[in-house]
Amino acid sequence: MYMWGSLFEHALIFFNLLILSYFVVGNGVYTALMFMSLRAIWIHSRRLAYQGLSELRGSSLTPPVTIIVPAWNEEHIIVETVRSALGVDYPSSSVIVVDDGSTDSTLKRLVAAFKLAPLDQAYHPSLPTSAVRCFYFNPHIPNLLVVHKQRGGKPDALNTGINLCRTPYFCCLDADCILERDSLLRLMDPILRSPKETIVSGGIVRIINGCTGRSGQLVKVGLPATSLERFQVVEYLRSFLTGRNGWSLLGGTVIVSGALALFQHKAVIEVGGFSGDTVTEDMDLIITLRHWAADHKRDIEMSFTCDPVCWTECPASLRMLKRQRRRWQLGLCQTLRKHRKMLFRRRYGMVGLFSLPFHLYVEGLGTIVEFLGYLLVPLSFFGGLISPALLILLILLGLAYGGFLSVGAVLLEEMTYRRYPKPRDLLVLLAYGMLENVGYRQLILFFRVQGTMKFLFGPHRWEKVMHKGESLSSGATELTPASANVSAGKTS
Amino acid sequence: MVSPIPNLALLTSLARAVLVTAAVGTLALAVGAMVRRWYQVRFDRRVKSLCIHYALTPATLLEGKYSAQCLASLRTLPLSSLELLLEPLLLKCVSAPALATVLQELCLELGLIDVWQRRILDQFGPVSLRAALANPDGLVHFISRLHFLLRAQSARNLGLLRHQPSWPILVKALDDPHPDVQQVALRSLAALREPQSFPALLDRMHKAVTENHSRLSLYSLKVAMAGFPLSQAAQLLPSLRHPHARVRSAAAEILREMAKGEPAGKPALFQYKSMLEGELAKLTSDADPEVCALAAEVIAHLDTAVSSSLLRQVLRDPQWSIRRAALQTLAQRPGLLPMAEVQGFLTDPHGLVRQAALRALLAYGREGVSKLYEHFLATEDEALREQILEELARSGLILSLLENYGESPGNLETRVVERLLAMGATRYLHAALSNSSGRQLLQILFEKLGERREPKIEAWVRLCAALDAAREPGQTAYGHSNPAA
Repeated sequence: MYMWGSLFEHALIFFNLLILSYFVVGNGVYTALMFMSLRAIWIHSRRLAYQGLSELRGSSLTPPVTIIVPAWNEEHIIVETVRSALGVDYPSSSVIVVDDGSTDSTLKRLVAAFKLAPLDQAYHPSLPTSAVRCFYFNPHIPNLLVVHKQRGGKPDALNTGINLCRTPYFCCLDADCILERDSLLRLMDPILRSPKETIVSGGIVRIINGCTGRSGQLVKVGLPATSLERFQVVEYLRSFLTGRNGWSLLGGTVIVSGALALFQHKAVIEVGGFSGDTVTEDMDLIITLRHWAADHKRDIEMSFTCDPVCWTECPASLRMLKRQRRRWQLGLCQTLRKHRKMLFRRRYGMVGLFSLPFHLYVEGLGTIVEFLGYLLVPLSFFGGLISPALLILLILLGLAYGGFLSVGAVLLEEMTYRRYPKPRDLLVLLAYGMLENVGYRQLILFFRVQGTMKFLFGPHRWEKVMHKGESLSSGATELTPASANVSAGKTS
Repeated sequence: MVSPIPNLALLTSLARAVLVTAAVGTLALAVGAMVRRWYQVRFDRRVKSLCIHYALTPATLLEGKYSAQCLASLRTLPLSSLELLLEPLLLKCVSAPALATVLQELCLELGLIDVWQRRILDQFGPVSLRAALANPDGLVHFISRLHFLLRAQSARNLGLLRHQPSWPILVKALDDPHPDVQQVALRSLAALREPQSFPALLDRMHKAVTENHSRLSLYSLKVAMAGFPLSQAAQLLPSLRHPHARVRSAAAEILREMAKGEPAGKPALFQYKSMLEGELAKLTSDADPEVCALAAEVIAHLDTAVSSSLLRQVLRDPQWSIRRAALQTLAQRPGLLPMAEVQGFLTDPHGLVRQAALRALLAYGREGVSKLYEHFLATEDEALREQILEELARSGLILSLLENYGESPGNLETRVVERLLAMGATRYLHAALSNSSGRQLLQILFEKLGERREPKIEAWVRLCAALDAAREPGQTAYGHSNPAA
């Protein structure tokens, strides 16, 4: 009996130390990333004064880009997304919308809004995909092609777009996203300015809920109405301005949001395109490209810039948020397992030695550790292992440190872009940053634990997040001949 | 109670220290964010009021004059404030060259040009902390590691103002230790277009290809050089002969862009034909396919008998990408070769060459379209027929096909439409008739239904019946299911 008691006590001590190490490693690295980002973003915002996008805009030497929009059951927002993609400020761009066998009226809406007619185009795939059923085209909008295909999943739809892409670079854009007009120029800028071969360029995703849009463009930026959405605004700021930016500075980028990313066509074809092995095909592709570059001794770069912005609708209900976060966690675990051979290997540089192990420990296993923490720390208290003072101290520490990182992200936003113009918005963001760790973080943790459980025991399938498209006047006006001609003129 | 966790006391005190730091840090960050917002709003207001006070708006400056009183008042402002005041006006110079002339004069009077030139040469004067903190970006003046931001901004300003005498300083800035300054100096040199600076850029272009440590990208150099006038073309000749293929292709691209930038009218490179023809002839048989393809594009701008024969030579190249490039060139300038020479490529083994040939034929106008119809009717190759149909649909010609349908019994359009009916490829016809222009066409025809003796109307009645019979929900022209039908 005594032996079992002692064993239990030792196990508790071990878990407490594990939780402590998770806390120290996770928060320590994120604090370092935050301070690095603070400096880098401040300098970057000063550099914008002489960035020279007009040079890219005005030169016919700027490489053409294809925007690939995979869509499945996005009838509420697809027309606005395509309109925003057609309206980008770029010397030569075209848009390929891949309708992945939608069962709603996604295709019908596209056909009606852009007056599309069927087209029998030759299709010679370089990457294997499910069957293409039909193409749609309007001669007055020559830079738009809609592809209707059998359902094959998002990676399959993206690969179909890649097969049809004839430009050296392509940009992936989620069907529920609105692009800012100069996003493509800003994404291309680091690729063209770098003397090194830059094969990926990622941007920042912001939340559109609460904003007002018209004809595929954002006209007013504001904060969403519900607390759930506001917490997500702060969370996105922290994730993109601190996390992704910091990892990019260290050269350890493993995640570039598939919602908005520019890829070198040739490199993606060489690695076999997007894979359906995981439900986070964007992260999987980035790590695959890293793997391929190291194996082939290619000196490549992946850039992350925090001003090319695309706006996306975040889940407004708990049900949809649960689906989204479960999928993200499942995808993370799948991707880490798929690329486990890169872990702790020197040849993969910063990614193999630091970034992937960190993601495995803090983002992957960390969910379980943190979740157990919420159970075991009180248990340790009741078991007499820790004093009430220490228990309260630990709880306060978790809350305060989380608040510190979130408020830091809001400061980063304030120091640089100030997208939320009202002073009241800033106060709201600060308040939500401080409160994020009381309730919301635990909720997200619970969803992530579910995602990890699904990875270990459940079915590994994609969970669709449905969008309402309320922030944009969906299905508003049809494309006028004038605007169609503007689009037409862009490629001619 | 003694806790079994080792060093618990140490852990507790550490946790307490971290907690206090985090709490204080959070508050500090929040206060920092609020102060920053307040400071920025106040500063923006101040700049705005200064602009109004000194009447420094593009409209007043474009009138050409600023008062001596205004100049005297501006001289009393600290340098950093003066720069921030002029910043929005400087940015407007890109779209208003007339403003640049007035601003250049103003900046010379205020001594700003001299300050910027000295900054580029890394000669910074002392700045007091108070002056540095007078604006949100003031700290940049104080921290020498951030001086590259000021050097780059100064180089940009000289370019925006098109201050021609600054070109030697900007050339020096191409060797600045910071890549940003190099990049901006390059852009400013492109804006100045000073012929004497061209060799320096050419040298950097060679280095960008041949040396690993170059910090300027080849793209930036090409864009900068392409902005120069064609009179610099002679300086590109050594690059066109360079042993490195990437240098040759970059030079050819620059030449092409320079030619494109010339005003429309006579062929841009015509006056340089004696100098360039020989070099371009060599490039058309270059070992590197990319160089050959680019040479084909440059040749078009010569527009001489020689360029036609060179283009013919390129069209015979075994590399499909080169043949395609030549055909794409022909699509831009169809007059260079007779149409019959393009038709031969409709049977090219490579699909993309066939596609380029189809597009080149369409560039010949009405005659080219007729040739396409003839090919459509004559060919037994189903792949080519589908490709022709795809191009007709892409270029919106299906409706014009229908407009001319039935005009005379044996006309080309009538035969093409009937062939489409015979093939069962009615989807394009359905689609063309269902859009607004197609509906309008049908309405005109229906209004004439009373005159059924007219052969066109009779043909249309037959066509509509055939189309109606062919309409099967969910079926497309080539038998795929079409859910949007």
